[in-house]
Amino acid sequence: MTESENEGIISRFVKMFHRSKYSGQWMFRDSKPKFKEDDILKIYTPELPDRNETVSARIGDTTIEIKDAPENIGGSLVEIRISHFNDEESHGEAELISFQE
Amino acid sequence: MSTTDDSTNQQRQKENDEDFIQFYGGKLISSVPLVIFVIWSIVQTAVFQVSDTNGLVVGSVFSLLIGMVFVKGPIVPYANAIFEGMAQRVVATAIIALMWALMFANILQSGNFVQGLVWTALNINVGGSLFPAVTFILTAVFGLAVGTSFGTAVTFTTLFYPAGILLGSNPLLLFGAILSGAILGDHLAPVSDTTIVSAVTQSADIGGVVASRFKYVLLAVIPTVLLYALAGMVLPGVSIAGDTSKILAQNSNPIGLVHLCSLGIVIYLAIKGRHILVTISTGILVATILNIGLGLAKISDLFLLTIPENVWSSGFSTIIPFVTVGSSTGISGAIYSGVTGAFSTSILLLLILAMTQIMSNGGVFELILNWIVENVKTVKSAELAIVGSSAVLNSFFVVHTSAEIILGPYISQLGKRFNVNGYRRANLLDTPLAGVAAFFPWAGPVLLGYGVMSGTLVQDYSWFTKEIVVNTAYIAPFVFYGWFVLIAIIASALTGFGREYTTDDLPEEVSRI
Repeated sequence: MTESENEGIISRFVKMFHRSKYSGQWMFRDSKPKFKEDDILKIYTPELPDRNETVSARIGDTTIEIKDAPENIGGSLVEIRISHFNDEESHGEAELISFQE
Repeated sequence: MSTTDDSTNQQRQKENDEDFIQFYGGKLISSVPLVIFVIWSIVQTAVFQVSDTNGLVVGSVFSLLIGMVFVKGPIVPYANAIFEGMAQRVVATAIIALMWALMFANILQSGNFVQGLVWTALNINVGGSLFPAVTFILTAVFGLAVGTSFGTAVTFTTLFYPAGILLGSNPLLLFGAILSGAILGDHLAPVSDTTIVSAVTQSADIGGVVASRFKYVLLAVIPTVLLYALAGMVLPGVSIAGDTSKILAQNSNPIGLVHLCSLGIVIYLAIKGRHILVTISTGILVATILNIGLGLAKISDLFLLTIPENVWSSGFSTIIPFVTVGSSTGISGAIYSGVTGAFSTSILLLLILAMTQIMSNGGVFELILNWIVENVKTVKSAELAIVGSSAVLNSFFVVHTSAEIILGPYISQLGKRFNVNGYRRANLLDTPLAGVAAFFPWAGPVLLGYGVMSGTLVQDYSWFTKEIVVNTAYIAPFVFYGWFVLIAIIASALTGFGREYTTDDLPEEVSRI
């Protein structure tokens, strides 16, 4: 049984009032979540990437460029490690760890 | 890029080309079958006032036939899309869950659960002014247990509407309260088909969706109860004469409250993340044991085989409790009704999935998605687009599950583009549905409740004149829960209240479903 399966209604309800480990926000979430270097995230890449050289995934209105990503990464759930993040521009760069189509 | 990757991409491209359906008039024409079906639904239910799911099934078949006329080139991709759409796991899940939920609902009804709720209302001395507020709460509790706004609206209109009128409640306010409770139950219940479909189409587990949905429901429930209490004191009832106490006494029985256990077990297991079939099957088992053990219902109330008198096997009727002899042969009972009650809707779902697959393979979703992507630049506008799409499409649908199945893939893609997580996407999809689910005369719960009033109640009660039957064209302002939950989800999209990203909590799996 996974951890999430063990989560009861109370714990999930209480969790709404917990502070996010990434954004520092409470239950009103920022449209531009912030991250720090070496954060490992699981995110979706866009189905129709407006890409040229790199894939740019968005978490809310924050943009993360995934360096050296393969072309067939669009629409995948990817695991990335943040290598650089600019708080003011809500823009970061990340290395691809793994992805599943 | 490796050679293997290149060939994979080429193969995928080739497969896409083979699936692609060309239409005379372009990609938008792929939506012709669905558009015709929506028109058929509106004409059948709103214009001709015929609430018949089988009629909608005929309409969907007709729509698919008309769509063929517009296919450019070979018809095979069109035909393949029909089968591809019907073969999706999401619809199989919805059908099985719907069947199980209907069985559970029918067993609870056969065990006097509603009578138990009536008994509670009577014993806390509720008058005509407070009756709509209490009705809203009790209807919501029942709806939460059975997960179907259709069944809840019918049951409570049959029992609570005449009782409330006798107590002096305002008819529109009372019917609005019943509809509000019915859609609240449908909105939050783990066994509700719309809850299940919203979770499954967004790759989220049902327990997590229900838990994360509480906050929107709470925001709407509190003002709804207060407003029904306040409006009940202001709005007048209708003058009638009748034996109030007799009618209420006939529908009051505290023993039915024992099924709060059945309900509690289902909710607990669903939220704990147990498989949906395990969850509802456990509820069915507990409810059946309580029914038979406490004498609330007989085995024959749950399942009854009526056989002819002149057959050799008629002797079994004396030893098998669910076999009887009668002139009208057949099968009946709460379990049988639950299973067969899902048939028409299931076929309808399969056919609607076929229509949406045709739209998908015809490229219209891609066209719309590209348009939205060009115009939706922020996560806030994406969430508002999801809420707006759901509210508008569900306004036209009688069977809201179908609208959710149509919208599900599109909302999934749009939400994932901004990494809005599955729980939040499921709530953005399902909550506007709850908002508009009882605003319009052709909406399922409104249509069915109206049918009960104008048919059964007028026939059953001498004092129940046609003047007491509400005009459903005026019902929307009185469905308070619908308004408040709609305001709550729009405000939530605007402010970021309850917004969750995939980085906050990625729903684990749909394998649990």
